[in-house]
Amino acid sequence: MKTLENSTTEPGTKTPAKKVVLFSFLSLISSFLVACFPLVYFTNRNLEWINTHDFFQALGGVALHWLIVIIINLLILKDFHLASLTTIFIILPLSLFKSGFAYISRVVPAFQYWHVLMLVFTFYILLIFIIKKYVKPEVSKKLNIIAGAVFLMLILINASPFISQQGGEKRKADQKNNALGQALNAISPVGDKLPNIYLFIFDEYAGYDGLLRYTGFDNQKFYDDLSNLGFKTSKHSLSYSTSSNTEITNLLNLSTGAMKYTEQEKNNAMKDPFLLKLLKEVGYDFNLINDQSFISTPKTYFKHQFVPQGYFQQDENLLSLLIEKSVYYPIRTTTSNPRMLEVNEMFAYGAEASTIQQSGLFTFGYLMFPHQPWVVDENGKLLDEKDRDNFENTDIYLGQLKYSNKMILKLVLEIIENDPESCILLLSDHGYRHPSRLKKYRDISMEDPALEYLYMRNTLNAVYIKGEAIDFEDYSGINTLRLVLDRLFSLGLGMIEEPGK
Amino acid sequence: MNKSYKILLAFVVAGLVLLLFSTKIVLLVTGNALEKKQIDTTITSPDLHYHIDIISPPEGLLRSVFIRGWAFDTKYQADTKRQITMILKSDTFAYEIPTFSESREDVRDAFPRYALTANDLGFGGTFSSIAIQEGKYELFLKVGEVGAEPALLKTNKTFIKEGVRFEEVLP
Repeated sequence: MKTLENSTTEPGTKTPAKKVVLFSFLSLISSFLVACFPLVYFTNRNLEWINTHDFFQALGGVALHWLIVIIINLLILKDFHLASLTTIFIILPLSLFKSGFAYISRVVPAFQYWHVLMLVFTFYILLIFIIKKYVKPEVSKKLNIIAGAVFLMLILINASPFISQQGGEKRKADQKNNALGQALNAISPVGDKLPNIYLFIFDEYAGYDGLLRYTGFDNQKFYDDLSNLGFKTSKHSLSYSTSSNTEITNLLNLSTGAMKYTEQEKNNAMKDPFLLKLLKEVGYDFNLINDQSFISTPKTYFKHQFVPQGYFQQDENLLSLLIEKSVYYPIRTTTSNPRMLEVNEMFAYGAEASTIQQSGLFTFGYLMFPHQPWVVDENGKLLDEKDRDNFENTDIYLGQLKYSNKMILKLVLEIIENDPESCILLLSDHGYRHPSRLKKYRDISMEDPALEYLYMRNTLNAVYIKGEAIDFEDYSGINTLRLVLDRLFSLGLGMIEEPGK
Repeated sequence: MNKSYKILLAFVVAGLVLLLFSTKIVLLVTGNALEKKQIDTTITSPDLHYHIDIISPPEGLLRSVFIRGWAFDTKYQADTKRQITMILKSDTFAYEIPTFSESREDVRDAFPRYALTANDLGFGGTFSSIAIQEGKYELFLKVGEVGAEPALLKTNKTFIKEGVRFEEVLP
């Protein structure tokens, strides 16, 4: 490459080779910082949903993208500074292509993806031409360093919440876990037949009160239908958090420890969760429905599992989000039809789980439904793509929730028919987070945030236990699970403190 | 004008020309181009039964619309190979859209009096709404056994293409 060749051994040169190499390196770093900016920006915007594993996977994707672009530019321009400068100019249009496309199609509706792609390509060729013809490496070097400094500053500003979260005080180990650890030793032998247990978590299924508050819909009929099937339901249950990562980690560990955990600690707590350890000791096999690959517990734990989509089709994943914003978004299928197929497959698999083994199977289903993407109305008719993330119109969410009611009833009816002696828990991780979306994306403040936070934590909670009566009122999902386990295996787990009201 | 400027100018001109025709090229390359035809839809058959199960909204890069349903002629012979095509008819021309066939046991069971065999009673087809010219279209189905004269039926479903929108006009 020109810069390095010039820098090596020319006698009498004023610029030492090391300095030239350093500046070439700084140029490359500058372009890499520019490439990383969208990653940091979207991480900051979605901090509560992203864990460390997600972040580093996305960073790997960004680094690979940058590497490919810089190598192409190096091959064309044969100079590190010029290649870095070209990369700085082209990497953002490639990374944020879809936002630009959305803006252009608002102005010129006839413009399609390939029109904008050709405009970007033309811009790239012109850029190469201008930089090669008119920009000297020395000027380019300065421009690169200025751009690098500006973007470093932007990255630091955007990364500050992330850094403060990671660098916070060392979390104390959850004392509740120690108490629960003792329960492992206290497992008393049970009868020959372990009833199959089905735990389904429907992400963002609003509890009765929250749904009524934010959509005006009275969901009583659904609760009545469940009661008629032998379920005990609770309409006023609360979760401990509005974050899926936190609440599901809590549920799988039967504790509230994740409230204080960093994202990395939550991820670790999912690796060998207490609930699974406990049931393994009792003698259960495990079956998993893992929508979005959200459950990071190792595959080896599960005798059976169903993962409805590949990595690029996942919705709650930082790398997918970055791809979705970039020029490469067509590789992701975000249409309603495939998503509904996935949802139908998950419900069908859940029902089939009741035929896998007669006893001793714990089926854990995490379904990101009725959570967005909103793809279906109450009658099962597919929605237009524009409503997929339409958080402003509460009818869109309500339609998908009403459709999920039908799916859930069909699911449990089939399980009870096949496996009447089983135990079924229907929970949600949190309620409908309408006010927090309005705050986050439209900056619409809540009049009484504490009150809204309460309604947003109002969850689905229904239990069927071998068709027998079970007495509980407004327990959290965690306490309901503890109650059911105590009832089945006399573990003496007891209750933990209910979520604050 | 030196050589590099000439090459650049030629590139920009070629880019502009491609930009103008890119939609047609993409439709051709992806096999989504639709040919305008003259199809007489005045004679429809009373012997046909049908139902449209799904009309998806336009989705994806090509704004593809998926239509799925079933249709049959009461005069079908047992175990024959059948074919259904969809016709979008405007006032002046029509598009004919091929479909895939599928077996529909539920339809066979719902019409025991016709002693149907389930094969090829169902159909499904996708077309790009980008390939459709602006205007109002009625959906017809062309239904028949392979090798025999097909019959037409009107589905009473109307669509409108306006700008990028392609929607069913609800009654």
